[in-house]
Amino acid sequence: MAISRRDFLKIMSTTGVAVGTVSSEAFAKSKAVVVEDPRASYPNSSFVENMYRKEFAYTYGKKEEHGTAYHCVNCQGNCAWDVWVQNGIVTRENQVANYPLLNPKIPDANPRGCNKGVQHSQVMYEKDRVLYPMKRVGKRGEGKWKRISWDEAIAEVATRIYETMLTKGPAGNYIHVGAGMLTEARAASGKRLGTLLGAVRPYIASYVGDMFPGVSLVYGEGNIGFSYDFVYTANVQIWWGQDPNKTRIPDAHWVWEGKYNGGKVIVITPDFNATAKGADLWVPVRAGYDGFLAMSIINEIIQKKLYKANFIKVFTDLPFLVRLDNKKLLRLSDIDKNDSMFDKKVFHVMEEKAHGKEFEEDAVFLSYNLKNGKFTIMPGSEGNPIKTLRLKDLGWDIDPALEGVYEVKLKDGSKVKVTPAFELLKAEAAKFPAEKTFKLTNVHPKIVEQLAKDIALPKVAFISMGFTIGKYFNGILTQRAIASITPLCGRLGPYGGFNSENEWSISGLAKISGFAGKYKERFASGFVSEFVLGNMMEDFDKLYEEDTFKEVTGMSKEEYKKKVNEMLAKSEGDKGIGHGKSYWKDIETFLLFADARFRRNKGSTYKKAFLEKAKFIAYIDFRMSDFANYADIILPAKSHYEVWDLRTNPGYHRFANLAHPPTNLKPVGEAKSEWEICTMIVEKIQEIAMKKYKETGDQKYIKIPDPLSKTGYRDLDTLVEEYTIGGQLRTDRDAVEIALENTDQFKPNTIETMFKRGGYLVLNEKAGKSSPLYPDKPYNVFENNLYLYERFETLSGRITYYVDDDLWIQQGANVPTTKEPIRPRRFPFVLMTPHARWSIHSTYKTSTLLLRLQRGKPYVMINPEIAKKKGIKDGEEVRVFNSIGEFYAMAKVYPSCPKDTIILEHGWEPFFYKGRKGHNETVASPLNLLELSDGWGHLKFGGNWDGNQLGYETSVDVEKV
Amino acid sequence: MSKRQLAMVMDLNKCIGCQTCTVACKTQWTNRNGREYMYWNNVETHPGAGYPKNWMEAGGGFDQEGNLKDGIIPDMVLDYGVPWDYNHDELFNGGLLHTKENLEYGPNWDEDVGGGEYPNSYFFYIPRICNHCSNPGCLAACPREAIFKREQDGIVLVDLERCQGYRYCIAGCPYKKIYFNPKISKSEKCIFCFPRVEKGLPPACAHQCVGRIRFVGFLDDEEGQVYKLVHKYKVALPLRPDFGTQPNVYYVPPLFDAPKFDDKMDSIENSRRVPIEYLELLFGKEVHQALDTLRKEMEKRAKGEESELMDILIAYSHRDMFRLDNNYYQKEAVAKNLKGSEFFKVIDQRYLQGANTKKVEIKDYTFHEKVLPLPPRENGHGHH
Amino acid sequence: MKKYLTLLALSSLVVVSNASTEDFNDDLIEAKQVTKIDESTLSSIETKKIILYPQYTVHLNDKDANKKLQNAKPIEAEVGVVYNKKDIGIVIKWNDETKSIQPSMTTNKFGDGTSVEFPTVYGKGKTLAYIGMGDSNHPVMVYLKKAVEGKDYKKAFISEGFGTMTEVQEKYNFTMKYDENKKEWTAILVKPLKTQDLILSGLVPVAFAVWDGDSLNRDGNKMISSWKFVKLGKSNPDTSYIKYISYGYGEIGNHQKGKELMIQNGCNGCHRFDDQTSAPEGLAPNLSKIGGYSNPIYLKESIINPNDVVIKNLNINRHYNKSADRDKNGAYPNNDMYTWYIKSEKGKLQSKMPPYSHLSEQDINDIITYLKTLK
Repeated sequence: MAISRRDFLKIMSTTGVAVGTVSSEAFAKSKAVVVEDPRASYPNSSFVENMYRKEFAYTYGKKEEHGTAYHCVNCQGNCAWDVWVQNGIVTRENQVANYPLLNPKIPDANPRGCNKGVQHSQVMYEKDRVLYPMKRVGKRGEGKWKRISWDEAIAEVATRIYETMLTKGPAGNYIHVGAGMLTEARAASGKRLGTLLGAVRPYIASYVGDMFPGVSLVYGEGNIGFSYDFVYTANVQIWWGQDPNKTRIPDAHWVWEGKYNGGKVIVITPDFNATAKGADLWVPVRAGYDGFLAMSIINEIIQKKLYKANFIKVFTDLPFLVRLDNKKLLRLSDIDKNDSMFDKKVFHVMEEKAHGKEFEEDAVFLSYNLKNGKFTIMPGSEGNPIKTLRLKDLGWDIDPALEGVYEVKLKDGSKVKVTPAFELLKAEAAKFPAEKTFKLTNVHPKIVEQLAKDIALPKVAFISMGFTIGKYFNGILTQRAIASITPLCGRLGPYGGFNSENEWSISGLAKISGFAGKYKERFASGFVSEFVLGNMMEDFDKLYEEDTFKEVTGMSKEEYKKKVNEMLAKSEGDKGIGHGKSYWKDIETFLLFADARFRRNKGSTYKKAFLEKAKFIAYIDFRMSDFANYADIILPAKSHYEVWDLRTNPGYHRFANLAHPPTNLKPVGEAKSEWEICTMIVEKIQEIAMKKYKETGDQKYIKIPDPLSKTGYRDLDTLVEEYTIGGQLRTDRDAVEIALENTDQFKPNTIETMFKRGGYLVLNEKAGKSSPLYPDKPYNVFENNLYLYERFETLSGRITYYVDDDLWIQQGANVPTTKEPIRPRRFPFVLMTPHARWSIHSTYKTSTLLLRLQRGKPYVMINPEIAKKKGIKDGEEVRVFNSIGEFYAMAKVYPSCPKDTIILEHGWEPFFYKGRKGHNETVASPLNLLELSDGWGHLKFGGNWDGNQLGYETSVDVEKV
Repeated sequence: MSKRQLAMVMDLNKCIGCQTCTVACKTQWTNRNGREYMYWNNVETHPGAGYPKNWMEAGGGFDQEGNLKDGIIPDMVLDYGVPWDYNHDELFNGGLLHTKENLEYGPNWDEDVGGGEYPNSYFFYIPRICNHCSNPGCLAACPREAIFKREQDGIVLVDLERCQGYRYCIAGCPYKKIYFNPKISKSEKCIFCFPRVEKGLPPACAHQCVGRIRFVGFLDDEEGQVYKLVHKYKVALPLRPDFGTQPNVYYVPPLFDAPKFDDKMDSIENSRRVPIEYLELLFGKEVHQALDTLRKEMEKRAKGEESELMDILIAYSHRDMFRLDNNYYQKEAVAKNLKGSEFFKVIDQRYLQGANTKKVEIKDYTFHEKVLPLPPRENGHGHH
Repeated sequence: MKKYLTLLALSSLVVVSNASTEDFNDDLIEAKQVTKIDESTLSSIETKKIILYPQYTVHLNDKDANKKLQNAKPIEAEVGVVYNKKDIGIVIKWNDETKSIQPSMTTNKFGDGTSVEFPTVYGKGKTLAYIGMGDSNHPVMVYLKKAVEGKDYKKAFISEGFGTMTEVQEKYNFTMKYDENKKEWTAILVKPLKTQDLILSGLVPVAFAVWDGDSLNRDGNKMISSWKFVKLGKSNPDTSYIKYISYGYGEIGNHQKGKELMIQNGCNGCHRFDDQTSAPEGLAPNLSKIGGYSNPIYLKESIINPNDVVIKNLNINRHYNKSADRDKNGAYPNNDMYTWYIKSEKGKLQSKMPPYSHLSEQDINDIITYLKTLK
């Protein structure tokens, strides 16, 4: 390394040592200096003043040499930083704090940043920095490495990938860009490589368990909501399973400024967390019972008639008729169109307006029109060419019934009873009255009553739901139930509604990620692939209790396993559901970027199973992570201040940030950007392939058969040409420039305009997906639906409550409902592992500076009463265990921890723990059948429909060591 | 006794305990040269022992008669916590990551612990820097008279030329915000980032505070938020006024506090978790009137009425939280004919407002006026 | 702690300590002329026993140090002096059971140390300087050596009273070695006889101080000797000067009477001493240990002509005036009551203590005799 942090500190010391020595050299006086009153005046202040002034000047360096950056990690905060540099060494970072004030009455976004971003300058020179390519020379995990040249390293990686393609085909390679690198420009490098080579590319959101499938079901997409300045405008903010003070640090100020502005802050979490401390109401829901609370709130809203009927009729599927004989939605394809009860007139008008577009009758749904007492088809559904949601239009005037039971004549002449989905929702909700759920949820009925009012009555109210909810076994149902509350009260767009995580629509990046449709990527379900790769069924078997499981799911563990295996079998390989949902059979060669696999993945079997499966592992990162220890080749990546990069999503704010390395920055070891690395890999693969081809003249060496390629092949003779777009796209800086040129939402901007502003651009109006992005108003989704009656991307075209898929009906989940946790009852404590204040998952967990501001090692938070019972004192070592594993940590006695949980902020890598056994050793992650279900309406595998790895479906016991 | 006094107000209702200030300060000043264990800025959970441990019981300050009180010097290991180090290098040998020292105590050891019992537990955060007091205990305690207040802004500094490392200042400061630097055997402390301030950049802890809780300005600047919060609305109070040092860091006391539950788990309306007695201990009796004013103004605002106080605390524009009156510093430098004009060259135009400086209205501030040519493109073969 | 003087009873302490003022010759150190000054010459020369007493003039604010101060005891040291044409060499040896070196990573540990003090003005017609860091009429040079881990911590200062020590550049050597077997420190100072600030010749007043890190000693919290007198050169010093500085040795009065006189004259109105603690701490120098390190003539001078040795009190900010108005920054003014002097327009310092020249010779001797017992 050119200059280590050590040397850097030495340099700094010289200024500091001066403190000690200069005094004895300078200012020799032979008259004693008499200070009359140092509070009033002081004879010589300049000596010490200039010393500190010089020290500041040293850290600040020359402004024009500063870089701009953000930290492209999985906090998604995306904040603009001013990177200070002295003699080519980064000294520190300071927020740019130059985002514009969009509206004089809404607080601006400055100075976005947090306690982790503010110290990257310190870890980028830490001693765990990977400085040059390394090859494993001992056993995996033994920690024996040999430094090798980039040529050797790239040659080996390329050869392994190439040979895998020859022997196993493209699906033998697994290329994954981990959560340590989530940006448009930078992450695109590895994804592009994976797509080009046809390698398996697991879906990261699902792999890490950050999916919102329950939300996708309701709204047609999982990542929806607002830019966080919207929080300021709300009359009621509800933070459900979320702790913005800890986990949305750059945005949290809007919560409290909103409160000063008259907003009410409500927090719903089992622990009294950092946000709850300032809330107007904290709701201490029992861990895993959020769904019961949500159903009670829905029941309260329906019973007290707090819902907005006129809204529900237009924007939800609740008026859709459901057959009572089979619980299926009544479809146009079911009924006798000649029956007088069928509103032919409306049907014909719509047919005319469709201008010959076909009706897919099994995707056209009916309601009972109170205006004329007829069954009428509803516009806007997937099968109806009429896409508007308007119920009153030229040619039709529908006032759909929400209640009542009706009889409808089917094609075969038989008659069946039907009722609006609303009736079924009402009935289901009625099973969860607040008085009854109280003993499960720990939430008093009066509070449920209050919550219902707070959601229904004010002008602007929202529920923001955290990632924890989806990490329970029945999280998909809970997500759905919570997401189903606000629409009942007509909340969309400016009136608030539901927030998970807003995404901007950013077009034009396809140029750096895709290949104009020539190659389809092997995009794989994250949670499914990992489950099989990690042999995680074994943990399921060992951890869960037969009786509890059966009581909750209505099936035995054996039945469940059988069912799961059937469904898995259907999803494997190119011929699997949706042309490829998950892959594990052929995978053997892994190329992984910034992926803390053994830290993140759950259970005690994963590591062993994975290492057996993996014949070759190449790992790319800037530091020696726990997983790096098991790689066969490690390649040194540049870190955030050394690369060019660009980042927009997710849409917490409307700014795209630029990573622009400081001028004359000294290289850190032999680190390279991921783009450079990938370019080197494709060059080498093509070189090797061409050599073989030239030697043998056999096409098979350059044309790898692949059904996912339009040509039927992966063409290795044009690999470099294709990857680099004819040489345009070789480096990280190329990627940034191409992204800027090709993305409408970024226009008009260049690297220079962004740099002048302090490393950011303001997205233009095109960035709004389902609402306009006004220049002076916070963003919230679904304004176009609300005002322009645009349809939602769901089967019904509406906010969806009813799912008539067979499995869902059989599971009793055709309407929103909830189920108890399956966690074993014989271990008394739920293990809650929320996001940490001190790290982004494992990123920055190893920072000395940050560890000094914690307990210095992993610690678990225990309720004082429990600690007392168990004879555990604060600071003592404890063993946390269950039937699949154990881990050791320091006890922190913590009054805000519920008596039935143990809290451990997650992200600690295994190498922090005794025996390298991390806390996930005790965590099983079973698959929920509903998350595996695939094919109904909009529930088709893809970015919006996949499942989660689970973190919260585990219980443990604890003892003093 | 200084001509003017630069001061800071911290709004504890907006503090989220993220410690960005702590780390910003650390990378600016204390990650080197024997300062590693020091936190010129720390954030501690209250109620709690804080940093250094039990500082409130460590003596110093002045008694009722205005005489300096005895105090103690906290211990590195037990009270401050050693700045423990890790074996990062051994990760390359497959080793586990661990500290080289025992873990006894640290600056944030009791993070979020606070008091009370579930479900009625409570806690809040107090960020602490040097209070740059008007009657500083450290300054008074120094037998060398090596600690002084800057005439131009009242910032309290240790003259490292005169300091002999006797450490009476540490005993004398009731906030324990002056530290012994064992490497140079002299005392050091928060300097209110005066080298930043003189150049137009607010103190790191305030400028980089993402909770937007910190206002910086001169106490006599009647247009300033600091003046208004401290003198006009009297909602910003000094910490432990009973210590008698007249701090110049002020706190908006914690009003935001979730209601308690009764034994049936129903929430008790208008109940407070944080005992008012504790707030009295920290901020004196004035805390009642301060909380009342805050409550009243919030109610006004909730009714949609205007409230200057709420506007100030909300702080629409981050820039407006700082009034460094930079023009004043330039004038002072000339008047005193201080050498080293580079020290007073403004590096950021955004925070210049103040009594002696007209408010500069900057619409779109160009952060980088000067743009150096981009480095030549390296090609993909980095290795050739 | 250090090896104490054999303390059988308080009386014996008085006797022992009186030893130092029984005979002026006990305070006289004959410097040996040598050609070469180095460690070997210095460690071999004949030394003289001196006694160092805990200093206490003002209350300092370190609670723990003050606890230890309560049972601080006088200690013995051996000093020897040599010189040649250029330099003077001084050796100081003292016993210390607890070797303390100020460690690098601690906040509340202190190192052992020693210092040698010379007045810059002395000799015929010159009064003696205040032993504690000199005074405005008698600047002193102080050579300090401390045991600090990883540092050669030595400094030279010029000083004219509390808080005025100002570092001065001078070429000299000052070393400090600990003998683990003897539990003894040996410090050696070698410096030029002539520098721009200090010229050493004839009969030179010199004082010695020792700090014990283990007792949290530093600054004025230390063991200090009274002025000793080093004889340099063959020529006999001026007899009038000898007469002057040797004033008051031996039995010159009655200490009970001295105490009564002090009370009659209201000394206890400002000064604290012995059981007289009605005066506010810090109002005037605390005399409860004055006897150990003050030469009789110095005591006499400060009684009859306090303005000759105006002592600047410690940091005046230690007391502020609560009854006064605060300034616009909420600052209280300092409490002048605790300033020991008044400053004339010309900036001349005048002691707040009135001269007691009207007292009879005998009364003064009685008072001195009494003050000598305070240690």
